[in-house]
Amino acid sequence: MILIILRTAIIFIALLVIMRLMGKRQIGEMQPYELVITLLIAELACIPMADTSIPLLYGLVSILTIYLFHAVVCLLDLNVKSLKFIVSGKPSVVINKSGVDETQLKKNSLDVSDLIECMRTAGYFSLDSVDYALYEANGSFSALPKANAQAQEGALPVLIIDDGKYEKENIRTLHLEKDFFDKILKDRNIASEKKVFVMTLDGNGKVYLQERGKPYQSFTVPLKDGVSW
Amino acid sequence: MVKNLLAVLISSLLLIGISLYEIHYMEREFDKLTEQVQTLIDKTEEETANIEDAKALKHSWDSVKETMHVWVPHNDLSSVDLVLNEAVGHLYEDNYRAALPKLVVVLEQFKKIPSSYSLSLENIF
Repeated sequence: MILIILRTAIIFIALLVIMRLMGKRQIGEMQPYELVITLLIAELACIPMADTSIPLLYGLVSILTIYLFHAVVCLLDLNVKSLKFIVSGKPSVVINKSGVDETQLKKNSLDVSDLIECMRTAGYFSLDSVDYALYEANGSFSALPKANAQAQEGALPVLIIDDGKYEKENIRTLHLEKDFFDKILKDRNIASEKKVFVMTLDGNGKVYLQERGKPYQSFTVPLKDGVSW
Repeated sequence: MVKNLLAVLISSLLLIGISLYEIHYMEREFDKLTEQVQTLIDKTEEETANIEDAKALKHSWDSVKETMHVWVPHNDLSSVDLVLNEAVGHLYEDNYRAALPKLVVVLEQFKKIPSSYSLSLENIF
């Protein structure tokens, strides 16, 4: 049985490390160790149940070992703050008052489209409608809206530049040309789209533009006649 | 907090208890069985073994096996069963030359099974 206990411990720790390395997008509203336990318990219960050649005690001992680890992690979570961050992670502030934090986003293996998707799920359609947005340690998304957030929400913003690259499909859908956006960048003294981390445009002509390593700017541009959504 | 501490304490004690009992039980039972097989091998080599000696070993094995199913995968026990039954069959016919290799295999299995479940690097990985 000591082998079963050790093997369970090794798998538990290995899975926990992998889950932490994978980042928040893999978790989905559970603490990393809770997800590991959920993954393991199902298999541990099934194998001795279905395979009659394996003693039932193997499954029971493994499950008891997982329970022991759960209790230990809970104790560490409550009492040792430095270990809590290692085991469970900590929240990442991906939007602050300067705009989207590229470093935090990449640290969590996320891109701008993932962020915009989470924003929409949380009820915010524009990147500048929140002061702060966070990915919690359990992978859920929280946002602190600006005081006038409702007023800022106009027509649906569309992603135009994502991490230095034009979203050609989106530009086509809006019946606009790349030149139109090149001109916007040129007016702002930005040499090329490669220097832009994120740019969105909504149906009222409001642009959210953030250069790499700089605070975002929000302004309005006149849209061509007949272009609206 | 208290509940978690109790959970850690009780589950640790249970796991340690089960592990220690298993190690002790396996060593004790397989030592006895190994001794019995060794005696039967000696008698087979001297060609003085008979079916009653073989049945005695088989009986000991069968009674140990009932509890052993809790600790050891059933396939490992079945493989011992197979070879032991063959050895008993050969001794029934006084075929010592055929029984001897089978008994040696049983002896090796009795030595190998407990070591397969002991704490060692090769067993962990």
